[in-house]
Amino acid sequence: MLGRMMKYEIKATQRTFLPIYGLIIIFALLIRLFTQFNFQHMNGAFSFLMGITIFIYVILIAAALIMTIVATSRRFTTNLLGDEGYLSFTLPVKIHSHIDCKMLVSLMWAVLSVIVTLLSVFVLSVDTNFINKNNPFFAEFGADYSRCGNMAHLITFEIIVLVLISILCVILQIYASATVGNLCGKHRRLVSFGTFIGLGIAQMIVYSFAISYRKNFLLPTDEQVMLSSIAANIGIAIAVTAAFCVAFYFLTYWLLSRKLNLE
Amino acid sequence: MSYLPERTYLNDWMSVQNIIDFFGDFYADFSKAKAYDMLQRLHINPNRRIKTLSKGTKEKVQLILVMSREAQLYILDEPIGGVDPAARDYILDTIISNYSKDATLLISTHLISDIEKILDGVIFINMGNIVLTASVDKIREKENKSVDEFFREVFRC
Repeated sequence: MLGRMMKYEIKATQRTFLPIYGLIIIFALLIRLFTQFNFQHMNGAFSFLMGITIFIYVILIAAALIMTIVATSRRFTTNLLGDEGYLSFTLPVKIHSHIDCKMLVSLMWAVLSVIVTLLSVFVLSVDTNFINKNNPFFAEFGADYSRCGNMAHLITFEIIVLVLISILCVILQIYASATVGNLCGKHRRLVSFGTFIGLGIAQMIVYSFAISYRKNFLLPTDEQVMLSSIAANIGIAIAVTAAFCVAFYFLTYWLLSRKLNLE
Repeated sequence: MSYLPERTYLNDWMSVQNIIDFFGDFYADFSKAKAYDMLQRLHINPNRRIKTLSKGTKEKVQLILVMSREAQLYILDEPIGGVDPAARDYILDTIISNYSKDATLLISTHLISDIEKILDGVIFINMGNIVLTASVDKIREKENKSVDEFFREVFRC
């Protein structure tokens, strides 16, 4: 059932994201074309055109990131807490599946937004010298990475996990806030926003405590010890963020299963 | 159980065909053939986007979706509330001719006169409390009134 639900969830949200992704890549290619042929030296009209293209490109990047957050919130609110909830909650699926489906699809779009943004930056910046194997940047980075050994692999893995789990945490924080807001008849949006801020502050307080209890938080001078310390700190951040994910998930689940009021 | 809420619960981004596929994917007892047949009889184009349909047509689509299931219990909340008077009889015929014969049909409505010809029994509810439970035949025999007339008498302001 989760697969079927995700199919419709992707269909419902793809119309928002795919055009923006397509436009980001097209505008990145246009800017690349302008710089490749040095159009800006030809006349003022081309300079103006390039300026406009860069401006739209930046707006599109911002739109992709903002839309990820807006679509996450709007889709959850309209499909589960609005009139569409009458259909969603009478489908023969469990409440867990509703949350899982929306969470995974939102995570997918968030990751895709980051990938498309990075890809467009790559399109803008790449040239034959950049991708040359003898580029000193790659050579230096490769040497440093090799010297750090397995610790470099561990930290890279931890950073990827931390990024993913942090995105997930924001998504679940939005769901928990929207569900709490739904309990209040008249001021739903205001209460949702207030809850989102409140949960954010609670997270900051817990992070501060977790970091302050680390004895070797100040980075030591020895490279391996320093790397171990960084890995441990990222590990703590992952654990704390995961704990918040679980808390937000079950708060949302409990409210949807016990306190839902579609009116 | 097949439930029709009073609210329009259809996803605006879908076409009528999409929502039929959606019901087909989620309900094993849903008959697409029955749904398309009813759409044709009610002159609703399955390719139209739900966003472009009038409120009455949306309600007809919802009713078609609900009545295309082979359920044991149908709960319909104001099924003809947003439909014009000319189409009401047609909708009622659709309900009667499409529900499973061994199933129970529970209709909540304020439009009693339009709907009473298909009722077997009635329950009057006031402020959340049951005021009366009776068969339609008994009301007609005992009170010598239609259900609508009797309702107006019981709930006279």
